[in-house]
Amino acid sequence: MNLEPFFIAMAVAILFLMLCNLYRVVAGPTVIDRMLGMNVIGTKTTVLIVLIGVIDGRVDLFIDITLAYALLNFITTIAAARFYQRLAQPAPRDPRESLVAPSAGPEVEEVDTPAAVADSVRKETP
Amino acid sequence: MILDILVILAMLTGLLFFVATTVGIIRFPDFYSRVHAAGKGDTLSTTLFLGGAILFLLRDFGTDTLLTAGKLLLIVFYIFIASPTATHAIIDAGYEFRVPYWTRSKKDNSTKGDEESMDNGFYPEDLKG
Repeated sequence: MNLEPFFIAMAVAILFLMLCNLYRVVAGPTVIDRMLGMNVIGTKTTVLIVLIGVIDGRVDLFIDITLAYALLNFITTIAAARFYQRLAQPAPRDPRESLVAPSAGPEVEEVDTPAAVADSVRKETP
Repeated sequence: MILDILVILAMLTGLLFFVATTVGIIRFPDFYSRVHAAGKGDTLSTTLFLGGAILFLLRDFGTDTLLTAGKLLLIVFYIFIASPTATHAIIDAGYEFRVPYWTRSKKDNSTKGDEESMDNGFYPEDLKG
């Protein structure tokens, strides 16, 4: 059975659905929505490259490109997610706080009133 | 012959899951529900497509095709681990970003007491869109 028309139809269908996903990237209300749409499109691109290799009859040539693309897509998504996660968090007032991971534990309690600040200063000085 | 039918079946199932993912990403009202649609359907449909490609490669059996099928299996394994991890990182960033979540109406939104730590009106304007 000749499966080449079936693979071409699958590739065209995936391409069409990727274009539908591009709507979320263009019109997403937040940056995170755009990141999500690009993650889905990048994952499907690996499938598309493998299908092109199968149609072409040279999968062993295209498989390395697919592996590199999958790795790159994962690293890009993780980097962008970490960037926006750090951006949403307030900058540490105390330099010692930056030694702790930003999303590790509960937030430090607010000491903003002058009496509390003076109290904390008094506690630290021997 | 039966391998061809298996290839067609796997790829059609993968296409069905990808259609569901696309409909969920476009139609769902909320960021969190969109991540829900993308994280599951995308992973499974990619796995099914690449599994169909592996079955098609194993049709003419040999050392070359076995090596290529092993590499493809490696990619399937990698995507099956990496795609949910990436989705988790995205939803963690969205939660820290305080993306507003979907409620039925604005009135319900204001009367909720439990989630007020999350829905405190903080919305970074310069990052919106």
